[in-house]
Amino acid sequence: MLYVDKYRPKALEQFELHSDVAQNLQKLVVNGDCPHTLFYGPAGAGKKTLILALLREIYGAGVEKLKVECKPWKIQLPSRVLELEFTTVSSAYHVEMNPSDVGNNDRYVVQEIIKEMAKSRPIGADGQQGFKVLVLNEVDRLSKEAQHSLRRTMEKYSAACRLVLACNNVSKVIEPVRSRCLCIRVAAPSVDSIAQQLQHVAGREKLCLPPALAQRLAAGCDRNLRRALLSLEACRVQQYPFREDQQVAEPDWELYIKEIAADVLGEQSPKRLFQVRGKLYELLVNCIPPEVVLRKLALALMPKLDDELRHSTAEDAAFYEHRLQEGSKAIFHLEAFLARFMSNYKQYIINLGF
Amino acid sequence: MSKRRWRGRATEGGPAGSEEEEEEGPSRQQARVSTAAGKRAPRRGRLQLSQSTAGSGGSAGNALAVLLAGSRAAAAANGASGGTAAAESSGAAPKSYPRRGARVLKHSDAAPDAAAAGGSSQQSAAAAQTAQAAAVTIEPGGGAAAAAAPAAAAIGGKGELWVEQHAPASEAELVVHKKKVAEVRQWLEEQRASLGRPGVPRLLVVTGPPGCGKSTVLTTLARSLGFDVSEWRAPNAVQWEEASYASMQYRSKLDDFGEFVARSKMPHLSLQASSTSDSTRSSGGSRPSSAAPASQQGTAPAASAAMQATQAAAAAGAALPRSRLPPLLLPTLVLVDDLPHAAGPEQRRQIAEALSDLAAGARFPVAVVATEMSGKAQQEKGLSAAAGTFQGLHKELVAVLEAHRATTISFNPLTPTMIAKALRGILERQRRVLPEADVLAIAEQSQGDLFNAISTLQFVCTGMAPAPAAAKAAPKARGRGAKRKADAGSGAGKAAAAAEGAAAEARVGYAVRDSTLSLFHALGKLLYNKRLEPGSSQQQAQQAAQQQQQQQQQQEPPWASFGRAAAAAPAKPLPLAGWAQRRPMEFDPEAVLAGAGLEAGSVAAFLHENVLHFIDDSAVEDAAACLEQLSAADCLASGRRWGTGDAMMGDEDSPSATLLDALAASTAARGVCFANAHPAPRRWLPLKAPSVFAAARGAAANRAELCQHTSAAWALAGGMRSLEMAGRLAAELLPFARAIAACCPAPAPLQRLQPARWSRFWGGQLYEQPGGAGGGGGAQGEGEQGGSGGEAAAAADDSIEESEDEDDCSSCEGRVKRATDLLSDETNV
Repeated sequence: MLYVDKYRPKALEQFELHSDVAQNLQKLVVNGDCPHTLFYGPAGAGKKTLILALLREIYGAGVEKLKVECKPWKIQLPSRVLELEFTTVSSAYHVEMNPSDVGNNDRYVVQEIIKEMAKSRPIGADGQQGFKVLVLNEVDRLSKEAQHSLRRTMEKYSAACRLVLACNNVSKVIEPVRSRCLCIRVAAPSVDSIAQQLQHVAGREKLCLPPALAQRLAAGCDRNLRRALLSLEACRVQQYPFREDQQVAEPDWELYIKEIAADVLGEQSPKRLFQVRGKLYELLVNCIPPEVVLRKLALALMPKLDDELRHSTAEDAAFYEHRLQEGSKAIFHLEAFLARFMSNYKQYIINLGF
Repeated sequence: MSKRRWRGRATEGGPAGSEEEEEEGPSRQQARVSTAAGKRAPRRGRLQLSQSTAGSGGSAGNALAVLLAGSRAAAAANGASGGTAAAESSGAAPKSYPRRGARVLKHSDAAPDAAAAGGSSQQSAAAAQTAQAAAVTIEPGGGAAAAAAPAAAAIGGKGELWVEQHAPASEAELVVHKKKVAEVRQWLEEQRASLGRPGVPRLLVVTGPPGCGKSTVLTTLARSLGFDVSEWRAPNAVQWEEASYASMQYRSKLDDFGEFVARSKMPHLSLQASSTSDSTRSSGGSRPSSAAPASQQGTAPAASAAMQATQAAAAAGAALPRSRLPPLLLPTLVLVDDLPHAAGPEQRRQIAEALSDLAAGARFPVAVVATEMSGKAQQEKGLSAAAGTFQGLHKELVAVLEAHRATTISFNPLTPTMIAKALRGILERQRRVLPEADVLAIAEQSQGDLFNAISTLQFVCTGMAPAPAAAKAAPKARGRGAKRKADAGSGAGKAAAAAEGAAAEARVGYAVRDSTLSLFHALGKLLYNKRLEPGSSQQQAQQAAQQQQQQQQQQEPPWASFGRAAAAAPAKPLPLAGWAQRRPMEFDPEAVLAGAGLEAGSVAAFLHENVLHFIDDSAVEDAAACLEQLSAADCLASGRRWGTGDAMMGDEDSPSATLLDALAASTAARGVCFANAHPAPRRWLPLKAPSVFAAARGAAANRAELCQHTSAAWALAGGMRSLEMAGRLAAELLPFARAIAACCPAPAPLQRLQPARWSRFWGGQLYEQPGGAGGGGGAQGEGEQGGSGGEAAAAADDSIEESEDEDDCSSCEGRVKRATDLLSDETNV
């Protein structure tokens, strides 16, 4: 088992990070009930961990008996029958799903599948009619129509179920949904607290983690605790005992992005751009989210640049990130960003007089 | 109008209604011809007409028409006694006759009394109505028949389509290449020889572009070899609302087809017993004993025999009951002309089932005629592959046909020479004179479609007086034709001075089909981005623009006009900054897009794939500008997905959606043309199909794998206890798990968390590898594993095909396949 799972707090009282949020949640469900909630915050901040602990707080250890279902659904639409496969993780008390996985058909999923789940009401252990919890991930990636259907579902079945929503970007969740939820912000942990957590885990694993390495691990993980723990474990298997100057393991695709950045800085020509395109395609096919690619690319280019260029590069990155959100073919925008950068960089070099 | 419609349906099943139906067929065809869209008129009813003409020429057609009119009038009279509603129906029924007469009259000189009838109906509908009512009330038989006769004669004589009139009667008259005819003949002879022997494959598939004589060859040969032809033609559409008016049951064409198949399997039972039942109509109407219905239905078997019987009836006034014909008198050829359109997999399956049923149980030879969609043989392969079809048939159907050991004969488009020959023959028989240049022009523009060529010819000749039979001397006729043409031309005085060739162009010009550009031709235009030389005058630019306008006259999309307006008014150059100045373009991008039928998604994808090679290697700024435009185009094209209002719910037809799409296509095309200010030195560059879609497919397959299986594995075995998002899995968990597994002494549990199937993309190709074992870093540090064999790709294909909202994917997908096919063809050559 990975450290990430092994040292994940299971109950609300075990939380060290976000202990304030955990305490509040504890108070919230003291009567065994809770409103619809929306957890938002960056990746690796602890949203999911909090949600699982909240469920445990409400239902007890029974929620940890999980089953995974990958079930085919047939949804009758006005014009045709939509068939899709959909994976859920569920216990007797809750169902978790990623409705955005089905892409463009998400509104049907929300309308039909969630409705069906929401309808069946569990009988509580004490004979009272209880409620079910539906955990929906990545609500911000749902289309607007789907979010509107979600709003309706929330109202209609609020007696039988509670929705727990999780998302990264709360501004992409429509206002009506937000207003029907208790919004809980889960902030990314600070670098210091991550380092502290790393030390804590290392202690329980009986490892000796040099503080400098812990600091470097914490600094290199984008304030993503999960990633920090994963890279700690990767470092552990790569070399133990730890050395202070040990190389911090990075995901392979990030190295690849650095390679792309080096390519772009090395030569600015349409031909080089075409070569880079192949690499971008490969990243995208491997399901690396395009926004992440763009961000990492910009960050990988930054260190080699002058302040003047940094400014324009950041601006271009922001511009094309927006285009990414509006468009549908990510490669166009990623490539346009790189082309723009190449053009700027070339101009800059020429102006320097080389 | 509603009354007419109601009437048509209310009498359904009875003879009057069905004749109406028949008579409306040609009139609709007439209308089609006059619009000269070059489209194929519905073929229903054609068989009957062609049979009558084939048998005994135009006079028999007249006689038949009179007979029909008489029987209908009789039925109408019956209806009048039945009730008021029926009376109204029968009163309205003959109304269509004068109308038709009038329509015919506009084009040809008909009998004067018919003209009077037509005129009166046009002047006042009420007068006509009373006249018809009188006709009904007077006498059942004679009176009404007499009233309708002149008009009917006009139809039978002059109004008929030349396509019907000049259908070949014998093998010698066929224009199709001798070798093809021989092939079909051989097959038919073999079939006849092996008749009744079990286990002989009975299926023949004839493919070819429209109008190349597939079914004509089959029917002509079959008759000359003594076959009886039982034919299924795609019936006319019955509209929903029409059906609801007449409390008639709506029947899908697939059901009709299935019924036809069921019947033709047992020809001596159902086909002959209820031979006249029309598959387009719900049966149950009482059939009269006269032979008339038998002759009007194209589906009747023993058609020639029936026709003879009909003619005998027409002549003698006494019907010979069909049932007296001995069963199995003739070997039957079951001809399936134009399979029903299959919109989705469900329908395809239904057709495939019916076909395999037909093939398995066939006692008689079965010929399936499949019309290929595109006129150009060169485009053909690619295009049909795009729609998942093979020579006009879907691959599922092809599989069925192959399983039954079907013989395939594919026809090529007719050559202009052959068509011209046929046209000249018709002109001679019609005693019309048309300059040779016109004939050649018609033959040329019909793109191998004889049907279209004859219709065009008739249209061009409409209103011409038949030339005296003596006027055959070629030079003389030519001169006269040109002169008349010039007079009848656009009317302006300039035509008189025009040279013969130019006049011919003007004459035939309006009948020309929409010109189409092949996909790669269009892309080449955009990418090579030809501009006028600086020395060339503005006149030339204007000329080029005008030429473009002429190229796409009709049916151009509404948005095309804004580009044209810009192109047509190059009066004064805008005061542009130096960097933005370009020489005028040699072509109009919107016209190119419209000509190739490209829409935004595919334009942008194709341009994106290829444009970098067309930019000079030192001009990375141009590349940036190009890609910027493409990125903008993508946002525009996706706008409807995220937009609000009517475009929101995936409504493809909403005006804003089409406008956005057009704007996006224009942005991409013009943007690329404008931005490429420093084109690469001109050389031959292969155009490639875009990788975008293949990459998207790979990503979708991988994503599905992650969502459905890997995240589940992580939730349980990985101890995550909850579902992970695909992006997080791919970007965070999996790479670290791989890294850990690479150094871990016991990596097995971690490797099980890796996806089982994975698609990779490299060099424009999608690779699917069987995987599972965490591949560690590949050569590029991007090691991935796992191939989802063809299944995943196929599944992804299907899902794309079926989801209506995958806006550009579904349509572009086709293009890509098509393009890929083309490419592979090219490389093979």
